[in-house]
Amino acid sequence: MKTNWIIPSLSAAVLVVFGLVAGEFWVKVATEAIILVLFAASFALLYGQTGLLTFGQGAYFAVGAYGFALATTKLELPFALCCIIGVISAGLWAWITGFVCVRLAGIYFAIMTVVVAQSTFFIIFQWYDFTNGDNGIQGLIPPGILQHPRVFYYFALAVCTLAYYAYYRLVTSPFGLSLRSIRENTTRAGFVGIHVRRHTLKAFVLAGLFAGLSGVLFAPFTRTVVPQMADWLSSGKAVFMGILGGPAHLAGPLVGALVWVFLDAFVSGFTVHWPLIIGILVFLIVFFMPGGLMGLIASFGGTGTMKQEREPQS
Amino acid sequence: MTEILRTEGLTKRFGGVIAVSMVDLVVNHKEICAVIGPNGAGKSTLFNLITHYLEPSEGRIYFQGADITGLPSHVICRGGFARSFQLTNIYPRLTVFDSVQMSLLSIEGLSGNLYRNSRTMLREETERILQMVGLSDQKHLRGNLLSHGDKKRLELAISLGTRPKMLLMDEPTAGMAPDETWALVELVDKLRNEEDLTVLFTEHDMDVVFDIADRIVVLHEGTKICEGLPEEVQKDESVRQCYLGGYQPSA
Repeated sequence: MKTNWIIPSLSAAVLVVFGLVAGEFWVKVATEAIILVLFAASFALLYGQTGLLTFGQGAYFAVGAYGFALATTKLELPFALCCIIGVISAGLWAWITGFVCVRLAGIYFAIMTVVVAQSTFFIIFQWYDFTNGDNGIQGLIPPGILQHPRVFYYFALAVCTLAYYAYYRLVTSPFGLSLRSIRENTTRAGFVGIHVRRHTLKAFVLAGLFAGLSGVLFAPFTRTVVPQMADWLSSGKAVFMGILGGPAHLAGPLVGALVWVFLDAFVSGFTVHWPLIIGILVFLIVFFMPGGLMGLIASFGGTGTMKQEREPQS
Repeated sequence: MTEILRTEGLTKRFGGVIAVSMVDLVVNHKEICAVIGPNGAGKSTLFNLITHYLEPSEGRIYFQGADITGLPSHVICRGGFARSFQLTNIYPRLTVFDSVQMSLLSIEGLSGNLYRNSRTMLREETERILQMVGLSDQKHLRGNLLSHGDKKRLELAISLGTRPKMLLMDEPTAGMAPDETWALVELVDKLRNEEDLTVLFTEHDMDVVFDIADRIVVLHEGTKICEGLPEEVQKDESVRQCYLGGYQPSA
């Protein structure tokens, strides 16, 4: 219970104050970070909770962003409605593609998610009439007061806090426990009556919704959508952030995304070789901290036994 | 006595090898039935067929009169049919409590519930099962930190969580210390009497088999060669030849 609440509430408090005191550049960095928390959560739900290694969450991130962008430019619908359309399109795309993916296990599942994401990328990239191809879609300016970076920051913070609460509820729900049972022992889970495929598909769609919401917020934030949102580098970002924070831990995606984006902004400020530094960091974490940063924090709480009465994580 | 489980002509071929051949088996309500036989006799294969872990090449399986051949494992489990595995098959990184509660949530049809807090659900029944198998003190430990005997008991508890009418156990006492073995035997006997459980199990320990089984089925090279009360099986000449040798029950 303790580590479950301290980190999210502390982060929320810091982030609320941050929006008032920080300079505009850092407010924008923080906006990106909190939006990407949901992207990391999307990966963590599949890998950390369900044990499905996905390298394709970028697809749903991009479909969410494009859903929003196309609804804005082609249909000229109100902002809120465009957001909803974006999230729903990502969920639908996850449902269609997930139907195929969840039939595969292990490395085949991982490869299939890459295939789906690259296909999504090429569809967006080449469908000029509809998606504007490699030019992307520009000019996605949010309405009214949201144009102000600080206001948009608080808007994103509010949406992401709500979404993260949903993630928390999901992880602590019976469904969350079912996902962890599937992760721990798929055969056994089937033998206690869990419909494994239905549950993993549901998790896949939910993860698509989180990635989609992240994309939906990202589009008006950068005011641009590009096909590269769907490619493997974008998906890889979700993987790195998730691994960095510790995908099985409730606060993992939060910590992972915040650390990643701030480190990125900070390190790129004084060296052009920042991808190398980030690369070395990820290497060290994978090698020495298999549970990610949250795993490291939790390991100070005792070895093996659950100090907390019912820790929903691993 | 009412019949719970029946198999008719159950056969399994692996390529040219016939692992189980034309096995007819009947298990009655509240009966403890043992399947014995030398290594490679097809005991585990028979179990895997009955529990739908393997697809039979031929034959039918009936549970409480209904044909369950070929149904997926999560469906037959909901019908009151639980199994434990020869190699311990638990959730390594879930707590003991979570592991058992998972079965109960699943059997209540709540495994897909997204918005309730699992922490508060079905606590009492989970505690009761843990009490029954004697794991209450370890309930906050992760499964992989338990001793071998405790893992076996956790496995039994996971099965009991599905509120089974019938339990299939593949070598439940394998690798257990003698006192752990006898504690398990007592527990199974108690479950039969108090929870109306029917049990089908395989076992290598003949002391256990002759102590607890109401009826014994002997397999040899995939076929059923003998079936009957423990005394009858013990006297049977073909069984003595192929399996029991000079075995004398110690009790």
